[in-house]
Amino acid sequence: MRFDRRMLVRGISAVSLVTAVGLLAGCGGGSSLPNPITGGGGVTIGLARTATFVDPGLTVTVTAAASRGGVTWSLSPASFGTLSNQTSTSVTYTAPTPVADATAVTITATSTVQTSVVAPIEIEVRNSLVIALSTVGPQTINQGQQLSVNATLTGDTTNQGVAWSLSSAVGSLSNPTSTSVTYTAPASVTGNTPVTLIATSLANSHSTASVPLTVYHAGAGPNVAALSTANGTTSPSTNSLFTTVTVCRPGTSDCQTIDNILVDTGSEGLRVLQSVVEPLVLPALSDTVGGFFNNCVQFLDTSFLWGPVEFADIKIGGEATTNTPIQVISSGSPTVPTACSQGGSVNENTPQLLGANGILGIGPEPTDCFQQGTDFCDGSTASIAAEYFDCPPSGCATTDGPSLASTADQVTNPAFGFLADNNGTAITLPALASTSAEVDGSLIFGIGTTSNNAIPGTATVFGLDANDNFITLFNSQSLTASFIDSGSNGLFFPSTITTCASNSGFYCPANPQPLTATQEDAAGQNATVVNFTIDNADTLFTSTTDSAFSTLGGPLNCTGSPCSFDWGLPFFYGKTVFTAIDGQNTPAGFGPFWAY
Amino acid sequence: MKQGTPRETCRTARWPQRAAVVLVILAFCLPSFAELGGYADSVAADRARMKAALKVTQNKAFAVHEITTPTKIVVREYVGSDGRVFGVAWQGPFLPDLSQLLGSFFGQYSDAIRAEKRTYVGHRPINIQQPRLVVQGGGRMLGHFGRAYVPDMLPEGVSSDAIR
Repeated sequence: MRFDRRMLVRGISAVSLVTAVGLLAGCGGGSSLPNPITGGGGVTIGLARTATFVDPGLTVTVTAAASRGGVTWSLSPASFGTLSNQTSTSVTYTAPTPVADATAVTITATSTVQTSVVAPIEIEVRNSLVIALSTVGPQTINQGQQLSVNATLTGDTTNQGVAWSLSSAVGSLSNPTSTSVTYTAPASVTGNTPVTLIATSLANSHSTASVPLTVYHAGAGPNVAALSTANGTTSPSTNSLFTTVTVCRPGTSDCQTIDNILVDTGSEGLRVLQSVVEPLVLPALSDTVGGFFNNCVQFLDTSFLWGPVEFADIKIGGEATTNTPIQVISSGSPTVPTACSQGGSVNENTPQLLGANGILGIGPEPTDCFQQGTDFCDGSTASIAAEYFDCPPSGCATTDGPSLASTADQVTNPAFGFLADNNGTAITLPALASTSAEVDGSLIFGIGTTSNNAIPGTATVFGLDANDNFITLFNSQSLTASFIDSGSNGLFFPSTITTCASNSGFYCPANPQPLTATQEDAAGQNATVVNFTIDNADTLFTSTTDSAFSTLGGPLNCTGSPCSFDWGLPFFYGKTVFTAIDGQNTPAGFGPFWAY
Repeated sequence: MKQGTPRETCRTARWPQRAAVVLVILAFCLPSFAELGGYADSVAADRARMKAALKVTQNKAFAVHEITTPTKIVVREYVGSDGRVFGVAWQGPFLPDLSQLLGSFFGQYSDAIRAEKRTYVGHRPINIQQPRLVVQGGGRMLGHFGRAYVPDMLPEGVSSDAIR
């Protein structure tokens, strides 16, 4: 659907260029040009415009002086911009944004007393003035450090360049020129401190570009993304790690920076809400007959994520992927095949329903179809996984079944798609005794690839089994399908601890329960004791400000064999947890593994 | 309508690539399961046709029908002496079709989930405890598991722990 709309715009611009050729002769360059038209019956219409050119997103007013009666207004191409404030003598034209190619539009006044009398006037919509910065993705920087940023402008016909500014008084700018500036971080910060560097075109203040920065005490770098449990799109969130990513139309500087992205080591691939990607339009994965591939993620609670596979360059700090398949979660009420929705009704396609603007899946596999070398989507397993649906341009039907998708077309783990530092990730969070309004940390890309991501000699490496699980021994049970997952917001495990009366999904012991479990790799080696505490969730949730909880847990009933311990975010506090990607080499051997 | 930005670039990627894009749309023919609360025998023929592996284990009070689909989903149906399914359990990289598996109980399940979602955003293991229906499970991408049963249909002397 998104692709259709893009094609529509292209088609229109072609048409309007033809129109422009036909009309330009009759239109001068003045900012106000009466052009009386006389029709039968002696009605004449004179038109004037406040400008002959308009930048994307800005307005021009056209006024009509009719010798008799008033006029009505029309626009050609009809959907290239909008007409508003229409009266019998004037109209306001608003240009669309962004505009890839300069386009002439024609506004036509039609006499209300004699409809055969028409007067056209043309307005040139200039192409968007695009600012490309030398640093694009969200960046971390240590206190006292400097960052130099250059701007390259296209469409800046008057060569005015940009003005530089900061979103808040964090740090300072020096040596600003029309195309470069140096940012200096504050000499000291009390915690991870965000600030955005903004470049604004002097010729068109609607054209801006920005770099989100996070100032650290220490540990910042080009392979480091800032994490925080605060924010989210519901307030407050519960043990969710958020970061910021920038997605760009492949090979261009046409980008969108999106915050409040949930960091999830339990899934693979970047998934972003259509509503936060717009107005950026990305190329969709199509088939050879004009249809499009949609991706589906199912959750046990019958909620799901649905939307087209589209290609984007993903930028986080100094790391970048090229032309990576992502899922754009469709807004509105798309028709979703029952094979995806299961007849359930919770399409989590708004910030409120998802609790985030997207999910950054950086689990131990390269794509959302892989498990230890098996591709469940490309046909090699006789698979008909309900993950990819190839649908006609008009959209899917509820009866559509899943399709095969080749490996290169599958929604891909960005941490695997980076040109460098692509063998895994580390998440570092400070210790947390009980609860906090905010915990800040770091997502570090690469394992043993540079100075800041080595696995320490004291760390334990846990190899995984064929299903990417390891072993947890707990309460005389061997839970052999256990896993570590930053996207789970508690510790979930089978226990007789009382569940909450209000919410059977969490534990509510009368007093905090100190507990012990032992983690082992899939071969039953490297036994490591983990001490943790489970507190009463009802009590924890009485806070209206806390977003981080180290003692939150809930039941994960032993419903099959083998059984699981889901080591969610509370496990990450006070640790650096490494997730190595399947098939990628590290100084500690090939992934997949977890280490801490 | 050929799309602007080519996928060819993408395909230069990292995996030695398999041939062309596969455009085959497979008929959606997951194996049928008996539904919770329904009779088990009606779907035996379907299973055979779908090439799902079926293993039947007879216990004293009930039988376990274990079905393994081509997508490696393992579904176990717990069938009482009256031939009716009183519990189901599943495990595998994907979810089974829960609307089919839970049958007439799916609406009740769906309502319970929706009620819970009104007060809680996010995903976590589920633990639906209602007088006539228990659904529990969890997992992550490519690793799902769970079970559902009807407490008052459990055969005499059989604990819910048997459904696993």
